[in-house]
Formats: sequence, C-alpha cells, structure tokens
Amino acid sequence: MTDFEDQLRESLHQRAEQAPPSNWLGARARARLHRRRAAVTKVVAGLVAVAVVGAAVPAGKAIVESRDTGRTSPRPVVPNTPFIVPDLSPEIREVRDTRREIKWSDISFKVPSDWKAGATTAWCAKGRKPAGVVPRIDLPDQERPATSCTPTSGYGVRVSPAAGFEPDHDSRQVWAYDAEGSTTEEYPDGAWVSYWYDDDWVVTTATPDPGLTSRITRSVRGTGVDVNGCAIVLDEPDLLEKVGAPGVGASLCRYAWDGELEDSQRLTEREAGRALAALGAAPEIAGDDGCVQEEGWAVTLTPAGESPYLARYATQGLGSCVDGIESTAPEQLVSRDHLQITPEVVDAFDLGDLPIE
Amino acid sequence: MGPRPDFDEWVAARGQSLLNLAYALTGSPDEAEDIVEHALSRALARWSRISRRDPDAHVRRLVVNVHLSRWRRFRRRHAPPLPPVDQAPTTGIAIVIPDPLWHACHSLPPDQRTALVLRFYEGLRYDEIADLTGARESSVRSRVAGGMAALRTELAGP
Repeated sequence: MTDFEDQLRESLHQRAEQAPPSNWLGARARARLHRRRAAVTKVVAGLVAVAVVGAAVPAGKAIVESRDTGRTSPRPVVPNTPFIVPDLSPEIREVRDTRREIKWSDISFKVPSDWKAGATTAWCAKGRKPAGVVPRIDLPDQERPATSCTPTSGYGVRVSPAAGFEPDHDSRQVWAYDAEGSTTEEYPDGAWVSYWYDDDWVVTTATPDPGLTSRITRSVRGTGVDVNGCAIVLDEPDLLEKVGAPGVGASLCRYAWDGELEDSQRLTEREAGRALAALGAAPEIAGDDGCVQEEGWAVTLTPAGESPYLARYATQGLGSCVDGIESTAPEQLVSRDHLQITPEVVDAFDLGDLPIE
Repeated sequence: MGPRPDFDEWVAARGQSLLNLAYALTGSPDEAEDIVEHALSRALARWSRISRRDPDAHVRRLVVNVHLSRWRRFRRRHAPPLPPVDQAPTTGIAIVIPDPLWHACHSLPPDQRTALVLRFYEGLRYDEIADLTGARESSVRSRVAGGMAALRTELAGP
C-alpha cells in the first residue's frame, strides 16, 4: 500500500464519519416500502378500470368483484393494452358453488362464496358483534378504519406483508384463540385461528369453526408466480421450472436490478410471435471487448411450452474500450447471447418506457 | 426456525455504517440518506429471506447498486455537461478547498469513484468489488488504477 493510497483511505474514513445520523432509518424504510406498495396498487386499480371500460373482452374472461360495490365486472385475462400491466390485483373466481378462489400477488386461497371483501375490523364499524357480520376478505390495499374495538379483528381472512412478522405458531397450524391469555384481544374469544406464511406474505384465518379454518388455511398456495405467469423473484436456476405462460401466447416479465418483479404482461399469440421474430432478426453484438457491464435488471419472455428467453440490461463500451476502460459507454440492452436490441425488439417487448422507481 | 435478526434491531445496529458508506459513495448527505432508505425498504420487503443469510453483505450490495443504478439512469436522461474550458482566473483571490483528496475523489466518474470507495473505504478485494458491482475484475482493476491516476493528476495541479 502506497502513501497515496493510505492518504485516500484516511480521507474517506474521516469524511464518511460526517455522514448524517441514522435516526428513524428503519421507520423511514418501512414507510417507503408502504408507499411503494400503495402506489403500485393505485396504478393497477387505475389501469384495470381503463381496461374494463375501454378494452374489448376476449374469450376466457375472469370475473372480478368490485371491492366497493360487491358487483361483478368483466376483466380481460389477456390485456390488449399497449402498456405493461403489473397485475397484482385480486382475482376472484368461482371455484364451486360454495367456495371462491382469491388470488393476491403470488398467493391464492379459497373461502366460502358468501364472504365479502373488506377489512376484518368492519364488524366494529357496523356496531355489531363479530359473529353478526359476514366474514371479510382483507387484502393489503384494503382501507382499514382506525378502531379501538375489542377484539381488534372479526372473522375472515387477512393477507398482510410478512415483514416484521414473528410467528408463534407453525404455518397452517390451527389453534383456539383464548382472549383471557392475551394482553390485547385480537380475535373473538374462542375463534379458531391459523397462519399461513412464506417470506413475503402472511395469511391469517379466523373463524368460529375449526374445520372451516383448517380448510381455508390448507387451501393457501404460494406459487412464486403471478397471474401472468411471471416469477415474483427472478431466480435464474428456477426459471425453467417456475415460469410459464398458460395456454397460448407468452409471459413478459420485467425485473428490477435486485430481481424483484416490477411489471408483467401476457402477450397474445400474435404478439409473442412478433417478439420472437424480432429477436431472431436481431444481430449479435460483435466481439467481446471486456467492457460489458451487467446492470442487473432483466426481462424474460416465455412462450407457452417453450424455454424462457432472458435479456439483461447492460452497458457496453462500443468503440471506446481501451484496456478494459470504458469511456463513453453507450447503453445497450444485451441478451445473454449478446444480441443487439433493435428498435423492433424494443417495440415488441414494450421496452420504450424504462422502469422508473 | 432459527434465530434471525429483527429488522429494526439490525438497522439500529448497522444503519450508521450504511449511511457512512453511502456518504463516501455520493459525497452528499441528502443523497446518502435517500439511497440507504431506499435500499433498506427493498431489504425489508424480503427481510425474512435476507436475514437467514448474510444481511450485512446483502444490504451493502443494495446500497451500492442503488447508487450505481441512479447514476446510470441520470446519465440516460441528461445530456453530459460541456467540457470545462481553460480560463484565466478573473480575480486574485485564492480558494482553499478543505480535504482536496475527498473533493477530487468526488469529481471522478461514479464508476471509478465507486471502485475506489469499495477498495479503500470498504477494504474489498478486486474480485469482491467485481462481484458487488457486476463488473469484470479486469474492469475494476482498470477503474481503480485510472481513478488513482486521475487523483494524482488533479492534486498535482496545473
């Protein structure tokens, strides 16, 4: 180590000590995550509303229940919109006469068909007893009126982020809630409660019937794949197993640099064909000049029944790479085969609008 | 289920060192706070998974990636500034810059500055920096060498 390097190290350490204090950093990060999730939900709600009003509904439509009115509205499964729709909205589908399947993000579960969407605190706002109110399906974007009622929650299912969740029971275990043994009364006394949880979500079920609680908690599935067939987290070794476009067409998935799914879309068969044709016509980037630097965020295209195509965003020093040093580094999108991303590919992949945080 | 660090406790213990790193990378207290807050919010979303492994390494990687990612996005959206033109000083007042090495370091291109901070502040090996930034080890070595050469030139003066 030279004297100059020692000076630089000392300067960096001394000045880094002058960084701002870390007051409330955890709380600020928590609030930021909450804002991000809320923003995604609002955007999705707006886009879905546009699709419902303006788009032609293709065959194979699903039925989505409005959380405000309880009425049902048609929503296209394969959106024809020119933008990428991050489909994190709940999808409620009739499974049998008596049970409905609820999908939220990459989890699904089944509940009695007469249950209503809403906060599990709704019983209190209505001024009744928990048993006198229809159980609720409480999803993360649900408005939760502040209440000081006892118990805090009525009957129903609640989906919540797993961050900070410290389970005191195993996933899917059913137990009788004893209000007398609790400092704060969370559920009606004697309710049968169960958690299902994974790394991202907790699904809490509370009903007066142990059999019903057990059936609901056993119906929860964490697929790791959203409704458009995109893995929630890009994990390349699992890509072939997890990701897939059901039916015809293709799944188009866009990931942030940390592998978190940002946007997803189902392409029709025609759109998928156009994207594949554009890829096939894209020229290889000549040579490997040692300056390719992967930035990390990625797009996958998975035609039905075929292997996924993966492209990562990268920078490359074209014509300006000398001894591994990149000077101007114009940006390119390169695949793992270093295909140049042509305007046709950009158009087919809907990549004109780069992700903005 | 084994013991895992609670997010808030972990942030209370490690948050300041993350801020110090971000400040060394950016030279801006506001930007450092924003980058760390952003990185932590990303980590929080998957804390149960991250906390099982090596949360310190993971979150430090997030901080570096947020920093680099922002700079690249900025560069995409803004035209590069015009190169400086040599001009004779208009007054006889000499400006003394405290800690010229720190200021010279933050006048380097972000890729070079990041490589220097990770090498000399974090004390990482070249291969570790390459892994952290997604660059090749040869590129990291070039950036460090180029950055040090630029600093020497800058501090040597005209």
